[in-house]
Amino acid sequence: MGKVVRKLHIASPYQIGPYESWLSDLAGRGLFLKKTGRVFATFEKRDPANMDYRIDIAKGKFSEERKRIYEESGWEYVSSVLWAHFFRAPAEAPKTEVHTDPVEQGFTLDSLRKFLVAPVITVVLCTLLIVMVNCWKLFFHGTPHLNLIDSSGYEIFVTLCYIPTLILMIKQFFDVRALSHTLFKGKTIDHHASYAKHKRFNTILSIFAILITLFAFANIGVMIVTISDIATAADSFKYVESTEVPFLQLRDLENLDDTYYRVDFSDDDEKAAIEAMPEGTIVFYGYGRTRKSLLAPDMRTTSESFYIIGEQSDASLDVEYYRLTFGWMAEGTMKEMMDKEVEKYQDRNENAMDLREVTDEALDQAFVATDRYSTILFVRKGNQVMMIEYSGDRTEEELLDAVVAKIDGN
Amino acid sequence: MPPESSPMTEAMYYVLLALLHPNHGYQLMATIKEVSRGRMNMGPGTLYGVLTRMQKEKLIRVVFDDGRRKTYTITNEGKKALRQEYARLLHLVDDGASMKGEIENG
Repeated sequence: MGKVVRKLHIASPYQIGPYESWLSDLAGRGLFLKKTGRVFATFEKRDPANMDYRIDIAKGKFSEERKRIYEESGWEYVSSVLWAHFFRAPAEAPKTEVHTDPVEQGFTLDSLRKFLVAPVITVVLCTLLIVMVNCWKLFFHGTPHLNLIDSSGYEIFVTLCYIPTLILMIKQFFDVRALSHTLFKGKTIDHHASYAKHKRFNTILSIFAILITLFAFANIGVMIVTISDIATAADSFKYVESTEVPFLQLRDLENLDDTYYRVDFSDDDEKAAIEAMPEGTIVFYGYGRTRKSLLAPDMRTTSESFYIIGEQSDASLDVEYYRLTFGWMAEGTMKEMMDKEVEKYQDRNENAMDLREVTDEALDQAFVATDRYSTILFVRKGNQVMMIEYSGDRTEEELLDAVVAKIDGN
Repeated sequence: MPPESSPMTEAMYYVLLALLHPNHGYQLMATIKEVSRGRMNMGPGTLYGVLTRMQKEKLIRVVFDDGRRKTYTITNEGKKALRQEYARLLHLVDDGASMKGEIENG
Protein backbone atom coordinates (compact mmCIF):
# COMPACT_ATOMS: atom_id res chain seq x y z
CA MET A 1 0.00 0.00 0.00
CA GLY A 2 1.27 3.45 -0.94
CA LYS A 3 1.76 6.39 1.40
CA VAL A 4 -1.48 7.80 2.78
CA VAL A 5 -2.17 11.55 2.55
CA ARG A 6 -5.04 13.43 4.21
CA LYS A 7 -6.51 16.54 2.74
CA LEU A 8 -9.27 18.92 3.77
CA HIS A 9 -12.26 18.74 1.45
CA ILE A 10 -11.81 21.30 -1.28
CA ALA A 11 -15.56 21.88 -1.36
CA SER A 12 -18.69 20.17 -0.20
CA PRO A 13 -18.91 16.75 -1.97
CA TYR A 14 -22.37 17.94 -3.02
CA GLN A 15 -20.54 20.42 -5.27
CA ILE A 16 -20.34 17.50 -7.65
CA GLY A 17 -18.55 18.95 -10.72
CA PRO A 18 -15.74 20.87 -8.95
CA TYR A 19 -15.20 18.05 -6.46
CA GLU A 20 -14.92 15.39 -9.20
CA SER A 21 -12.55 17.68 -11.10
CA TRP A 22 -10.35 18.07 -8.02
CA LEU A 23 -10.20 14.29 -7.49
CA SER A 24 -9.25 13.72 -11.15
CA ASP A 25 -6.48 16.33 -10.90
CA LEU A 26 -5.12 14.71 -7.74
CA ALA A 27 -5.10 11.27 -9.43
CA GLY A 28 -3.09 12.90 -12.23
CA ARG A 29 -0.58 13.87 -9.51
CA GLY A 30 -0.55 10.35 -8.05
CA LEU A 31 -3.07 10.81 -5.23
CA PHE A 32 -5.98 8.38 -5.37
CA LEU A 33 -9.03 8.79 -3.18
CA LYS A 34 -9.18 6.07 -0.55
CA LYS A 35 -11.71 7.24 2.00
CA THR A 36 -13.88 10.25 2.66
CA GLY A 37 -14.64 11.65 6.08
CA ARG A 38 -16.72 14.65 7.10
CA VAL A 39 -13.72 16.98 7.26
CA PHE A 40 -10.87 15.16 5.53
CA ALA A 41 -10.47 12.98 2.46
CA THR A 42 -7.76 10.30 2.57
CA PHE A 43 -5.64 9.60 -0.50
CA GLU A 44 -3.22 6.84 -1.38
CA LYS A 45 -0.03 7.65 -3.26
CA ARG A 46 0.39 5.62 -6.46
CA ASP A 47 1.65 6.15 -9.99
CA PRO A 48 -0.19 9.09 -11.56
CA ALA A 49 -3.05 8.10 -13.85
CA ASN A 50 -5.75 9.74 -15.87
CA MET A 51 -8.89 8.94 -13.86
CA ASP A 52 -12.52 9.98 -14.03
CA TYR A 53 -14.40 10.37 -10.76
CA ARG A 54 -18.15 10.45 -10.28
CA ILE A 55 -20.13 11.40 -7.20
CA ASP A 56 -23.60 9.96 -6.95
CA ILE A 57 -26.09 11.33 -4.46
CA ALA A 58 -28.33 8.93 -2.58
CA LYS A 59 -29.65 8.53 0.94
CA GLY A 60 -28.04 5.74 2.96
CA LYS A 61 -25.51 3.07 2.13
CA PHE A 62 -25.18 1.52 -1.29
CA SER A 63 -26.21 -2.14 -1.40
CA GLU A 64 -23.74 -4.69 -2.76
CA GLU A 65 -26.10 -5.23 -5.71
CA ARG A 66 -26.00 -1.52 -6.49
CA LYS A 67 -22.20 -1.37 -6.24
CA ARG A 68 -21.97 -4.40 -8.54
CA ILE A 69 -24.18 -2.77 -11.14
CA TYR A 70 -22.00 0.37 -11.10
CA GLU A 71 -18.98 -1.89 -11.45
CA GLU A 72 -20.52 -3.67 -14.43
CA SER A 73 -21.06 -0.23 -15.94
CA GLY A 74 -17.34 0.43 -15.56
CA TRP A 75 -17.25 2.30 -12.22
CA GLU A 76 -15.27 1.17 -9.18
CA TYR A 77 -16.86 2.06 -5.84
CA VAL A 78 -14.40 4.01 -3.64
CA SER A 79 -16.09 5.50 -0.59
CA SER A 80 -19.16 7.27 0.81
CA VAL A 81 -19.78 10.19 3.12
CA LEU A 82 -23.30 11.18 4.12
CA TRP A 83 -25.34 11.30 0.88
CA ALA A 84 -22.25 11.38 -1.41
CA HIS A 85 -20.96 8.14 -2.95
CA PHE A 86 -17.67 8.17 -4.86
CA PHE A 87 -16.81 6.10 -7.94
CA ARG A 88 -13.89 6.13 -10.33
CA ALA A 89 -12.76 4.64 -13.62
CA PRO A 90 -9.71 5.06 -15.86
CA ALA A 91 -10.46 7.91 -18.25
CA GLU A 92 -9.85 5.79 -21.36
CA ALA A 93 -11.82 2.73 -20.16
CA PRO A 94 -15.16 1.97 -21.85
CA LYS A 95 -18.01 2.73 -19.45
CA THR A 96 -21.60 3.90 -19.21
CA GLU A 97 -21.94 7.38 -17.73
CA VAL A 98 -23.36 7.18 -14.15
CA HIS A 99 -26.09 9.69 -14.92
CA THR A 100 -27.59 9.74 -18.39
CA ASP A 101 -30.60 11.94 -17.58
CA PRO A 102 -29.92 15.37 -15.95
CA VAL A 103 -33.57 15.88 -15.00
CA GLU A 104 -33.61 12.59 -13.08
CA GLN A 105 -30.35 13.59 -11.38
CA GLY A 106 -32.06 16.90 -10.55
CA PHE A 107 -34.77 14.98 -8.67
CA THR A 108 -32.07 13.24 -6.60
CA LEU A 109 -30.43 16.57 -5.79
CA ASP A 110 -33.83 17.99 -4.93
CA SER A 111 -34.39 15.17 -2.40
CA LEU A 112 -31.05 16.13 -0.83
CA ARG A 113 -32.11 19.80 -0.76
CA LYS A 114 -35.32 18.85 1.07
CA PHE A 115 -33.31 16.74 3.52
CA LEU A 116 -30.95 19.66 4.22
CA VAL A 117 -33.76 22.07 5.17
CA ALA A 118 -34.13 20.74 8.74
CA PRO A 119 -30.35 20.82 9.62
CA VAL A 120 -30.01 24.31 8.11
CA ILE A 121 -32.98 25.62 10.11
CA THR A 122 -31.61 23.90 13.25
CA VAL A 123 -28.16 25.47 12.85
CA VAL A 124 -29.67 28.91 12.11
CA LEU A 125 -31.94 28.68 15.19
CA CYS A 126 -29.08 27.40 17.38
CA THR A 127 -26.86 30.25 16.23
CA LEU A 128 -29.60 32.79 16.91
CA LEU A 129 -30.20 31.27 20.34
CA ILE A 130 -26.47 31.27 21.14
CA VAL A 131 -26.16 34.90 19.98
CA MET A 132 -29.16 35.92 22.10
CA VAL A 133 -27.98 34.06 25.22
CA ASN A 134 -24.46 35.43 24.87
CA CYS A 135 -25.67 38.98 24.24
CA TRP A 136 -27.79 38.69 27.35
CA LYS A 137 -24.80 37.36 29.33
CA LEU A 138 -22.55 40.04 27.91
CA PHE A 139 -24.85 42.95 28.64
CA PHE A 140 -26.06 41.57 31.95
CA HIS A 141 -25.90 44.34 34.59
CA GLY A 142 -25.01 46.75 31.75
CA THR A 143 -21.31 45.89 32.10
CA PRO A 144 -20.26 44.30 28.78
CA HIS A 145 -16.56 45.21 29.19
CA LEU A 146 -16.28 43.70 32.66
CA ASN A 147 -18.27 40.60 31.67
CA LEU A 148 -16.14 40.13 28.58
CA ILE A 149 -12.91 40.52 30.58
CA ASP A 150 -14.10 38.06 33.22
CA SER A 151 -14.96 35.42 30.66
CA SER A 152 -11.96 36.01 28.34
CA GLY A 153 -14.39 36.79 25.55
CA TYR A 154 -16.02 33.37 25.92
CA GLU A 155 -19.38 34.71 24.69
CA ILE A 156 -17.85 36.00 21.49
CA PHE A 157 -15.83 32.80 21.08
CA VAL A 158 -18.87 30.51 21.44
CA THR A 159 -20.79 32.62 18.94
CA LEU A 160 -17.86 32.58 16.50
CA CYS A 161 -17.64 28.79 16.77
CA TYR A 162 -21.06 28.50 15.16
CA ILE A 163 -20.26 30.86 12.30
CA PRO A 164 -18.19 28.48 10.07
CA THR A 165 -20.80 25.72 10.53
CA LEU A 166 -23.57 28.18 9.77
CA ILE A 167 -21.83 29.50 6.64
CA LEU A 168 -21.02 25.98 5.41
CA MET A 169 -24.54 24.69 5.98
CA ILE A 170 -26.20 27.66 4.28
CA LYS A 171 -23.74 27.61 1.38
CA GLN A 172 -24.18 23.85 0.96
CA PHE A 173 -27.95 24.21 0.91
CA PHE A 174 -27.94 26.95 -1.73
CA ASP A 175 -25.29 25.15 -3.81
CA VAL A 176 -27.43 21.98 -3.88
CA ARG A 177 -30.50 24.08 -4.74
CA ALA A 178 -28.69 25.83 -7.59
CA LEU A 179 -27.33 22.54 -8.92
CA SER A 180 -30.74 20.85 -8.92
CA HIS A 181 -32.18 23.87 -10.80
CA THR A 182 -29.41 23.61 -13.39
CA LEU A 183 -30.09 19.89 -13.83
CA PHE A 184 -33.84 20.45 -14.14
CA LYS A 185 -33.07 22.77 -17.04
CA GLY A 186 -31.46 19.76 -18.73
CA LYS A 187 -27.86 20.94 -18.32
CA THR A 188 -25.46 18.13 -17.43
CA ILE A 189 -22.78 18.38 -14.76
CA ASP A 190 -19.38 19.58 -15.93
CA HIS A 191 -17.05 16.89 -14.55
CA HIS A 192 -14.03 19.13 -15.17
CA ALA A 193 -15.44 22.31 -13.59
CA SER A 194 -12.97 24.72 -11.99
CA TYR A 195 -12.58 24.35 -8.24
CA ALA A 196 -10.39 27.43 -7.65
CA LYS A 197 -13.27 29.49 -6.22
CA HIS A 198 -14.21 26.70 -3.78
CA LYS A 199 -10.56 26.24 -2.78
CA ARG A 200 -10.32 29.94 -1.93
CA PHE A 201 -13.54 29.87 0.06
CA ASN A 202 -12.50 26.76 2.01
CA THR A 203 -9.03 28.20 2.70
CA ILE A 204 -10.54 31.36 4.20
CA LEU A 205 -12.97 29.32 6.28
CA SER A 206 -10.18 26.97 7.41
CA ILE A 207 -8.00 29.91 8.52
CA PHE A 208 -11.00 31.27 10.42
CA ALA A 209 -11.56 27.84 12.06
CA ILE A 210 -7.83 27.58 12.96
CA LEU A 211 -7.92 31.04 14.57
CA ILE A 212 -10.97 30.04 16.61
CA THR A 213 -9.20 26.82 17.68
CA LEU A 214 -6.08 28.77 18.69
CA PHE A 215 -8.27 31.18 20.63
CA ALA A 216 -9.92 28.23 22.37
CA PHE A 217 -6.54 26.75 23.36
CA ALA A 218 -5.31 30.14 24.57
CA ASN A 219 -8.46 30.49 26.65
CA ILE A 220 -8.02 27.02 28.15
CA GLY A 221 -4.34 27.89 28.84
CA VAL A 222 -5.30 31.06 30.71
CA MET A 223 -7.92 29.13 32.68
CA ILE A 224 -5.32 26.52 33.71
CA VAL A 225 -2.84 29.24 34.72
CA THR A 226 -5.53 31.01 36.75
CA ILE A 227 -6.59 27.76 38.45
CA SER A 228 -2.96 26.90 39.29
CA ASP A 229 -2.46 30.46 40.59
CA ILE A 230 -5.46 30.05 42.87
CA ALA A 231 -4.14 26.67 43.99
CA THR A 232 -0.69 28.01 44.81
CA ALA A 233 -1.75 31.39 46.23
CA ALA A 234 -2.65 29.94 49.60
CA ASP A 235 -0.72 32.79 51.12
CA SER A 236 -2.62 35.78 49.82
CA PHE A 237 -0.16 38.02 51.66
CA LYS A 238 2.42 37.18 49.06
CA TYR A 239 1.76 40.26 47.04
CA VAL A 240 0.18 42.28 49.82
CA GLU A 241 3.65 42.22 51.35
CA SER A 242 5.42 42.67 48.07
CA THR A 243 6.39 46.10 46.80
CA GLU A 244 6.62 44.79 43.23
CA VAL A 245 2.95 45.23 42.46
CA PRO A 246 1.37 47.55 39.91
CA PHE A 247 -1.48 48.79 42.08
CA LEU A 248 -1.71 51.15 45.02
CA GLN A 249 -0.97 49.71 48.45
CA LEU A 250 -1.50 51.03 51.91
CA ARG A 251 2.29 51.18 52.35
CA ASP A 252 2.36 53.80 49.54
CA LEU A 253 0.23 56.07 51.73
CA GLU A 254 1.27 55.26 55.27
CA ASN A 255 4.44 54.45 57.11
CA LEU A 256 4.13 50.75 57.81
CA ASP A 257 7.64 50.12 59.15
CA ASP A 258 7.76 47.87 62.18
CA THR A 259 4.33 46.57 61.42
CA TYR A 260 2.91 43.32 62.61
CA TYR A 261 1.26 41.50 59.69
CA ARG A 262 -1.72 39.70 61.06
CA VAL A 263 -2.27 36.38 59.33
CA ASP A 264 -5.49 34.87 60.54
CA PHE A 265 -8.38 36.50 62.39
CA SER A 266 -9.71 33.15 63.49
CA ASP A 267 -6.42 32.18 65.13
CA ASP A 268 -6.90 32.60 68.90
CA ASP A 269 -3.18 32.27 69.64
CA GLU A 270 -2.42 35.12 67.27
CA LYS A 271 -5.19 37.19 68.82
CA ALA A 272 -3.72 36.66 72.29
CA ALA A 273 -0.23 37.54 70.99
CA ILE A 274 -1.52 40.83 69.49
CA GLU A 275 -3.30 41.74 72.73
CA ALA A 276 0.03 41.34 74.53
CA MET A 277 1.82 43.71 72.13
CA PRO A 278 2.85 47.18 73.37
CA GLU A 279 0.83 50.29 72.59
CA GLY A 280 1.82 51.99 69.35
CA THR A 281 2.24 48.70 67.47
CA ILE A 282 0.82 48.82 63.98
CA VAL A 283 -1.31 45.76 63.25
CA PHE A 284 -1.87 45.19 59.54
CA TYR A 285 -4.23 42.83 57.84
CA GLY A 286 -4.72 42.35 54.15
CA TYR A 287 -5.69 39.85 51.55
CA GLY A 288 -5.81 39.76 47.82
CA ARG A 289 -7.05 37.82 44.87
CA THR A 290 -5.47 37.56 41.48
CA ARG A 291 -7.10 36.44 38.26
CA LYS A 292 -6.15 36.23 34.62
CA SER A 293 -8.10 36.47 31.43
CA LEU A 294 -7.20 36.71 27.76
CA LEU A 295 -8.48 40.27 27.83
CA ALA A 296 -6.86 41.17 31.13
CA PRO A 297 -3.62 39.29 31.90
CA ASP A 298 -3.48 40.92 35.33
CA MET A 299 -6.58 41.41 37.46
CA ARG A 300 -6.27 41.98 41.18
CA THR A 301 -8.50 42.79 44.07
CA THR A 302 -6.97 43.69 47.40
CA SER A 303 -8.27 44.80 50.73
CA GLU A 304 -5.84 46.17 53.32
CA SER A 305 -6.30 47.80 56.70
CA PHE A 306 -4.34 48.60 59.82
CA TYR A 307 -4.83 50.00 63.28
CA ILE A 308 -2.47 51.15 65.98
CA ILE A 309 -2.78 49.55 69.38
CA GLY A 310 -3.85 52.11 71.97
CA GLU A 311 -4.54 54.84 69.42
CA GLN A 312 -7.66 55.99 67.54
CA SER A 313 -5.83 55.72 64.28
CA ASP A 314 -6.64 53.33 61.45
CA ALA A 315 -6.89 53.22 57.68
CA SER A 316 -8.20 50.94 55.00
CA LEU A 317 -7.65 50.59 51.30
CA ASP A 318 -9.61 48.51 48.80
CA VAL A 319 -8.28 48.28 45.29
CA GLU A 320 -9.54 46.77 42.08
CA TYR A 321 -6.86 46.71 39.40
CA TYR A 322 -6.98 45.70 35.73
CA ARG A 323 -4.15 45.55 33.23
CA LEU A 324 -5.96 45.02 29.97
CA THR A 325 -4.76 43.38 26.77
CA PHE A 326 -6.27 46.16 24.70
CA GLY A 327 -5.91 49.78 25.82
CA TRP A 328 -9.09 50.74 23.97
CA MET A 329 -11.11 48.76 26.48
CA ALA A 330 -9.88 50.89 29.39
CA GLU A 331 -12.38 53.75 29.04
CA GLY A 332 -15.42 51.44 28.87
CA THR A 333 -14.09 49.27 31.69
CA MET A 334 -13.59 52.26 33.99
CA LYS A 335 -17.00 53.68 33.15
CA GLU A 336 -18.66 50.38 34.03
CA MET A 337 -16.68 50.15 37.29
CA MET A 338 -17.91 53.66 38.17
CA ASP A 339 -21.52 52.85 37.25
CA LYS A 340 -21.40 49.72 39.41
CA GLU A 341 -19.89 51.61 42.33
CA VAL A 342 -22.37 54.50 42.05
CA GLU A 343 -25.22 51.99 42.16
CA LYS A 344 -23.73 50.18 45.17
CA TYR A 345 -23.15 53.51 46.93
CA GLN A 346 -26.74 54.58 46.40
CA ASP A 347 -27.99 51.28 47.79
CA ARG A 348 -25.91 51.81 50.96
CA ASN A 349 -26.42 55.56 51.42
CA GLU A 350 -29.35 57.90 51.18
CA ASN A 351 -27.53 60.41 49.01
CA ALA A 352 -26.00 59.89 45.57
CA MET A 353 -22.25 59.60 45.12
CA ASP A 354 -20.73 62.97 44.31
CA LEU A 355 -18.49 61.88 41.46
CA ARG A 356 -16.42 64.54 39.69
CA GLU A 357 -13.71 64.45 37.11
CA VAL A 358 -10.25 65.63 38.13
CA THR A 359 -7.52 66.41 35.67
CA ASP A 360 -4.05 65.12 36.03
CA GLU A 361 -1.67 65.22 33.10
CA ALA A 362 -0.07 61.96 34.16
CA LEU A 363 -3.37 60.11 33.80
CA ASP A 364 -5.72 59.55 30.88
CA GLN A 365 -8.75 60.10 33.07
CA ALA A 366 -9.57 60.30 36.76
CA PHE A 367 -12.76 60.64 38.77
CA VAL A 368 -13.07 61.15 42.48
CA ALA A 369 -15.85 61.04 45.04
CA THR A 370 -15.46 61.88 48.69
CA ASP A 371 -17.70 61.65 51.70
CA ARG A 372 -17.04 61.87 55.40
CA TYR A 373 -15.79 58.30 55.61
CA SER A 374 -13.85 57.62 52.46
CA THR A 375 -12.43 58.75 49.14
CA ILE A 376 -13.20 56.76 46.02
CA LEU A 377 -10.92 57.19 43.06
CA PHE A 378 -11.19 55.85 39.52
CA VAL A 379 -8.14 56.23 37.31
CA ARG A 380 -6.97 54.91 33.98
CA LYS A 381 -3.79 55.23 32.03
CA GLY A 382 -3.03 53.30 28.87
CA ASN A 383 -4.24 49.78 29.44
CA GLN A 384 -4.41 50.09 33.25
CA VAL A 385 -7.58 50.78 35.18
CA MET A 386 -7.79 51.13 38.95
CA MET A 387 -10.53 51.73 41.46
CA ILE A 388 -9.44 52.77 44.94
CA GLU A 389 -11.54 53.17 48.03
CA TYR A 390 -9.55 54.72 50.82
CA SER A 391 -10.47 55.53 54.36
CA GLY A 392 -7.83 57.31 56.45
CA ASP A 393 -6.00 60.56 57.07
CA ARG A 394 -4.56 61.16 53.58
CA THR A 395 -6.13 63.88 51.45
CA GLU A 396 -7.59 63.45 47.97
CA GLU A 397 -4.49 65.14 46.46
CA GLU A 398 -2.07 62.91 48.37
CA LEU A 399 -4.03 59.88 47.20
CA LEU A 400 -3.95 61.03 43.58
CA ASP A 401 -0.18 61.72 43.75
CA ALA A 402 0.44 58.25 45.16
CA VAL A 403 -1.62 56.69 42.38
CA VAL A 404 0.24 58.65 39.70
CA ALA A 405 3.61 57.61 41.18
CA LYS A 406 2.51 53.96 41.19
CA ILE A 407 0.91 53.85 37.79
CA ASP A 408 3.88 55.70 36.23
CA GLY A 409 6.21 53.08 37.62
CA ASN A 410 4.57 50.41 35.45
CA MET B 1 -38.24 23.99 -8.94
CA PRO B 2 -38.70 20.33 -9.91
CA PRO B 3 -40.82 19.95 -13.06
CA GLU B 4 -43.61 18.18 -11.17
CA SER B 5 -46.41 18.99 -13.60
CA SER B 6 -44.25 18.21 -16.62
CA PRO B 7 -44.50 14.88 -18.46
CA MET B 8 -42.73 11.72 -17.38
CA THR B 9 -39.00 11.66 -18.06
CA GLU B 10 -37.73 9.28 -20.71
CA ALA B 11 -35.91 7.31 -18.02
CA MET B 12 -39.12 6.84 -16.01
CA TYR B 13 -41.03 5.76 -19.09
CA TYR B 14 -38.52 3.08 -20.01
CA VAL B 15 -38.17 1.78 -16.46
CA LEU B 16 -41.97 1.42 -16.26
CA LEU B 17 -41.99 -0.34 -19.61
CA ALA B 18 -39.20 -2.67 -18.46
CA LEU B 19 -41.03 -3.42 -15.23
CA LEU B 20 -44.16 -4.68 -16.92
CA HIS B 21 -42.39 -7.93 -16.09
CA PRO B 22 -40.71 -8.13 -12.65
CA ASN B 23 -37.06 -7.33 -13.05
CA HIS B 24 -33.92 -6.54 -11.07
CA GLY B 25 -30.92 -4.20 -11.28
CA TYR B 26 -28.54 -5.17 -14.03
CA GLN B 27 -31.12 -7.16 -15.95
CA LEU B 28 -33.34 -4.07 -15.87
CA MET B 29 -30.61 -2.03 -17.59
CA ALA B 30 -30.30 -4.69 -20.25
CA THR B 31 -34.10 -4.85 -20.74
CA ILE B 32 -34.29 -1.06 -21.14
CA LYS B 33 -31.58 -1.23 -23.79
CA GLU B 34 -33.47 -4.00 -25.51
CA VAL B 35 -36.91 -2.30 -25.30
CA SER B 36 -35.44 0.95 -26.63
CA ARG B 37 -33.69 -1.04 -29.38
CA GLY B 38 -30.29 0.10 -28.17
CA ARG B 39 -31.19 3.78 -28.13
CA MET B 40 -31.36 4.09 -24.37
CA ASN B 41 -28.21 3.07 -22.47
CA MET B 42 -29.26 4.09 -18.97
CA GLY B 43 -26.57 4.92 -16.43
CA PRO B 44 -26.67 3.10 -13.07
CA GLY B 45 -27.08 6.41 -11.16
CA THR B 46 -30.06 7.36 -13.28
CA LEU B 47 -31.57 3.87 -12.95
CA TYR B 48 -31.37 3.87 -9.14
CA GLY B 49 -32.55 7.48 -8.94
CA VAL B 50 -35.64 6.57 -10.95
CA LEU B 51 -36.28 3.38 -8.98
CA THR B 52 -36.07 5.23 -5.65
CA ARG B 53 -38.35 8.03 -6.80
CA MET B 54 -40.95 5.81 -8.43
CA GLN B 55 -41.00 3.53 -5.41
CA LYS B 56 -41.71 6.56 -3.24
CA GLU B 57 -44.47 7.62 -5.63
CA LYS B 58 -45.85 4.04 -5.49
CA LEU B 59 -45.54 3.56 -9.26
CA ILE B 60 -43.39 0.48 -8.66
CA ARG B 61 -42.81 -1.83 -5.71
CA VAL B 62 -40.28 -4.43 -4.54
CA VAL B 63 -41.60 -7.98 -4.94
CA PHE B 64 -38.50 -9.82 -3.80
CA ASP B 65 -35.58 -8.83 -1.59
CA ASP B 66 -33.18 -11.43 -0.21
CA GLY B 67 -30.68 -8.78 0.94
CA ARG B 68 -28.48 -9.41 -2.11
CA ARG B 69 -30.90 -8.60 -4.86
CA LYS B 70 -34.13 -6.62 -5.18
CA THR B 71 -36.77 -7.44 -7.77
CA TYR B 72 -39.17 -4.67 -8.77
CA THR B 73 -42.51 -4.67 -10.53
CA ILE B 74 -44.92 -2.03 -11.77
CA THR B 75 -47.99 -1.24 -9.59
CA ASN B 76 -51.52 -0.54 -10.85
CA GLU B 77 -50.85 3.14 -10.31
CA GLY B 78 -47.66 2.76 -12.35
CA LYS B 79 -49.59 1.03 -15.14
CA LYS B 80 -52.11 3.87 -15.14
CA ALA B 81 -49.31 6.47 -15.35
CA LEU B 82 -47.66 4.47 -18.15
CA ARG B 83 -50.94 4.25 -20.13
CA GLN B 84 -51.47 8.02 -19.76
CA GLU B 85 -47.94 8.74 -20.91
CA TYR B 86 -48.28 6.32 -23.81
CA ALA B 87 -51.51 8.06 -24.88
CA ARG B 88 -49.84 11.44 -24.58
CA LEU B 89 -46.92 10.32 -26.71
CA LEU B 90 -49.32 8.87 -29.32
CA HIS B 91 -51.08 12.24 -29.48
CA LEU B 92 -47.76 13.94 -29.96
CA VAL B 93 -46.81 11.57 -32.76
CA ASP B 94 -50.28 11.90 -34.38
CA ASP B 95 -50.06 15.67 -34.28
CA GLY B 96 -46.60 15.52 -35.74
CA ALA B 97 -47.72 13.04 -38.41
CA SER B 98 -50.44 15.44 -39.62
CA MET B 99 -47.68 17.92 -40.41
CA LYS B 100 -45.11 15.31 -41.45
CA GLY B 101 -44.41 16.92 -44.79
CA GLU B 102 -43.78 20.37 -43.32
CA ILE B 103 -41.57 18.91 -40.60
CA GLU B 104 -39.49 16.88 -43.03
CA ASN B 105 -39.19 19.59 -45.64
CA GLY B 106 -39.03 22.56 -43.25
